[in-house]
Amino acid sequence: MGSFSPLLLRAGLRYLLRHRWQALLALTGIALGVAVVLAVELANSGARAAFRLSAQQLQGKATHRLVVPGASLPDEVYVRLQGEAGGPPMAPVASDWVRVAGHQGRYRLVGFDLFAEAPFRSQLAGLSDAGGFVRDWLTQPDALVLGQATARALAVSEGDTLDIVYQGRPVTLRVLRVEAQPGSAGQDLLLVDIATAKSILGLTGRLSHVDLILDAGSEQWVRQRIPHDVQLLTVAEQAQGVTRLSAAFELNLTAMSLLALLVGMFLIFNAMTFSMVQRRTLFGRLRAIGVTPRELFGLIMLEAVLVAVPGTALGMLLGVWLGQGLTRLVAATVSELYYNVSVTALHLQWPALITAAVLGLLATLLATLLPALQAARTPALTTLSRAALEQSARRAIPVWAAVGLAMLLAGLLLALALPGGVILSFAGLFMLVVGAALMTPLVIRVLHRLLERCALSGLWRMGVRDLDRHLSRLGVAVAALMVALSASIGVGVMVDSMRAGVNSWLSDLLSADLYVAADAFAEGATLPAPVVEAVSGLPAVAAFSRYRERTLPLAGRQVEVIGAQLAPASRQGFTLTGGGPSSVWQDFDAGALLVSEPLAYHLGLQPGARLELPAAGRAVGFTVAGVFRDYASEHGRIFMDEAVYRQFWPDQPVHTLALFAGDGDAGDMRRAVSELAGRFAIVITPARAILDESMAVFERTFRITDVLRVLSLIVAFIGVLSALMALQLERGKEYAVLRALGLTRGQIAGLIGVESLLMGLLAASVAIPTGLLMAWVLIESVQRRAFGWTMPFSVDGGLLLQTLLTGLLAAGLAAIYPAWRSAQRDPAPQLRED
Amino acid sequence: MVRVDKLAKVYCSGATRQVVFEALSFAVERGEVVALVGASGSGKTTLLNLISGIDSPDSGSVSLDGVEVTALAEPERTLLRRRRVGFVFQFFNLIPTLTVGENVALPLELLGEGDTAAQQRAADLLQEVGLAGLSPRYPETLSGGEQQRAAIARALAHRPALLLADEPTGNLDEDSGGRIIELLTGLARRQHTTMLLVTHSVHVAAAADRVLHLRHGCLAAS
Repeated sequence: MGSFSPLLLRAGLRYLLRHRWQALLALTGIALGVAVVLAVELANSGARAAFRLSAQQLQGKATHRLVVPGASLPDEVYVRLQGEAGGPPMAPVASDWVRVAGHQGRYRLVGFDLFAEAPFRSQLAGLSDAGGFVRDWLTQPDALVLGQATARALAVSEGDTLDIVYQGRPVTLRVLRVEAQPGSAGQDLLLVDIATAKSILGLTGRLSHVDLILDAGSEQWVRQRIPHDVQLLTVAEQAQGVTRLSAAFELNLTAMSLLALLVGMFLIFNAMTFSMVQRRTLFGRLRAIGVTPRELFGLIMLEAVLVAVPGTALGMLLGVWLGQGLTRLVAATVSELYYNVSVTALHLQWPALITAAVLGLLATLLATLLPALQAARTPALTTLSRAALEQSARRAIPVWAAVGLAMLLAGLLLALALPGGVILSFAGLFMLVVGAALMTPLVIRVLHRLLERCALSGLWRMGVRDLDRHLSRLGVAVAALMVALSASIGVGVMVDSMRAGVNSWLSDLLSADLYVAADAFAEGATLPAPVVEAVSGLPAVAAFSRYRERTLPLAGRQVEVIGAQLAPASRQGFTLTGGGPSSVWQDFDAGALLVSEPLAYHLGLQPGARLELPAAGRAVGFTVAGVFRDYASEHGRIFMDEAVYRQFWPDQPVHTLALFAGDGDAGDMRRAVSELAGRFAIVITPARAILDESMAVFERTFRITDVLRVLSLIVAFIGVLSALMALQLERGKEYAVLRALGLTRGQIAGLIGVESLLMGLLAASVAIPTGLLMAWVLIESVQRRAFGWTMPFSVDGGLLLQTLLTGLLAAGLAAIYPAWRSAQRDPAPQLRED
Repeated sequence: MVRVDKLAKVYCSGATRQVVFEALSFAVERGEVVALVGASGSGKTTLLNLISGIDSPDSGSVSLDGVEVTALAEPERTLLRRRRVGFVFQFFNLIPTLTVGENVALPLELLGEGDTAAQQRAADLLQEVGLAGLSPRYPETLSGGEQQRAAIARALAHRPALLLADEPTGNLDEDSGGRIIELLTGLARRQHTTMLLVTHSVHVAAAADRVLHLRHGCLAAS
């Protein structure tokens, strides 16, 4: 491109200016594609960063942590270590999640020892003593320090009181100081003195953990001095399980944003192909007067850069704006489901911005490469002939279809048959989509032939023929719309399948008539033994199940271990995907484990396998009795018989009771339990209410997916609009001839409308099978490899109909302006034109 | 200057085989103006495309000043066209996104000529073809005759050795056509440019030094 002619470049630029609608639509396509990817990345990384920041503020310079898996740490471990000379820096911490009265989400109450903090968290140790802060901190049992952002979110200032709730118990704290924390996006820290925290959290004589700063030598020093049930973990190991909390959520968002980019790429490809096709005569003229293919290729690629740069820049601006909206949605969902995240957590992160910029530019250049090569390589004579172009496009159709079929099959193979991780699943998914897009023109031809056999009349017949006649221009637009619609179906069917799976799983699992838990069960409150005895001893209760839970670290995951005494009806609620029912329950009663599907998948566990759990300070081997379908935790859950469980954790109280009325009246049982509720702080929930609430959470989780589906459809809509606009520009003379022959303005508009609707119909027809294949890959490969979940393939006919109508609606709407414009144009000048 | 030797071109479309010419031979001397006359579909345009290297023959050869065009690879044929050949088409084929002046300057710019020199040459040529004041206008604002004059100026801008004119008056009325042919042949002769002029008009052909009739794939002189 070194010897590039400025006149050629000027000609290209003026083409863009003259066809500003088309240039604008290409620009919009790039901008939207980039915007969606950037917005999702910003929202995701905002939530991630907020959590990381919160964890970092808490972790400070600590390298290691002393913990007792699934329990608290006795004070004496810290006291003994600290008492010995030559030990490393260490700081005790007491912390747990609490709720703040009148506010949503969870907050982390952290109690620390001001005097031990200096090496760890300088911002805490360095709290200024102005106004007697240290004295007040140590002497006032309700003293609280907050970050500015947290104080703002909770609408409190220094001197105000704050009501928190821990395991149902209300505690009032007084804000002693509001600190200007740097990077206060992690809006979930409530800082108190360690004695206050221990008192609130009921950790008398115990700690949550001890933070340490260790090097290789001091690590050995600590290991030699800790009891066998205490574990020394690196902070990274400890944090790993927690940061995986929202992985499923993030993966779905990322998948949608990449699909939007793919649709955006098709749009650019569509716009650039049109631009090439429209200018075939111009290229022919240039080639005839001696412009080389290389110069032509350079000119086209340069034009692409000229569109890509402002398109990407615009997309980035739009992405930041859209990112703010998405961050609110993500923050609301993450706060609701996982941990409290500030809605102001959007941070413009350079990696995300650079990725979006590179994606926008590369996607445009990649999408332009093929049309540019085609335009440059076409001999001058062929370039001058429009019929030859359509002929060559038709000749290429079987080749593209064969390549497409090969890609589609290879994609399926990669995603479903070959071993690999979730990245390969996505690679397979994209190959499938691109393969289907390449096959689209062939399907158009086949459907065109079928439609031609129908006895169509008038405009419909012309529309059908035109569709085939302009295949080189319309094929790509139909493919772009098809990709957007199929992505919508794929993700829609996946969400529907998940919904159906979760619903059926919950319906099976929640087989009891009533569930009883402590009033503050959400904060981890348990049922006192007298309550359990009183409730389960009620005459109206025919059978009951008891559940005791704790979280254990296992292979980098935070696995829930549940000790359960299961009534026969509860056992029927388990859908076993591994192991025969009769032998599974026999083995379970004999001390073997039931392992949830995600855990079994990630650890490669089958019935009969051995699994070691950290129990009672040592690794205890268990046999896996069976594997059950479970969506409660992507980390995994393990059920073991209550009797076995209590051998290792005898003090663990009951969390939940499931009550069965048997043949008796569930109403009687409810009344009886309600009477007890007056005496004890318990909550009684019918299975239906739990199911409804769980499904409501599910719907809230996937609300953002719907937003992204709509965005993809907007991108596709612009694709169809640009295709129709370009075609209308090109066929101006043809319409003028039709007008001269006597077609009314309405009939011209009708012809464009018919063509557009046929495009929508054809796109939807290909999108439905493609979308179903995508859903299959998403369910069987992406979800399985990422989370170990299996789910029934559930297709809602309404969704398919909705897609068909969306395709028609998008195409119909896209036709309005071109149809109006074509109908309004005066045919005389066009008839005179060269 | 131009030597065509046993040139053959056949178009195949499915099972249909259309022989345009099988062993066409002729020569055009330097500075000669030759009219190529023939009925529609006789292969006149195909012959011009083969001589200019836009199209390739099935057999035979074409030489320009001793350079065998048919032996060159496509990029070399393009560069030869850029340096040695000028084109005038029936439908003008001006670049719609360049002004008249820029259209005329384009071949010079492609040859790497300086901006000022190219503009000066374009201005001189536009003066010569009678479009002196129309340089900043875009092609679609000109009449057919004016567009063809601009196309002639563009074709001659880089002083080509060979000028190929394909039905240059086919899209014009008789008067305009006559003036265009006068201008075209006059300029070609003044620049000593060899010209091959495709036409089916006897009047247009009369302006040439020699007329060749293309009939059923064979040439006959008159």
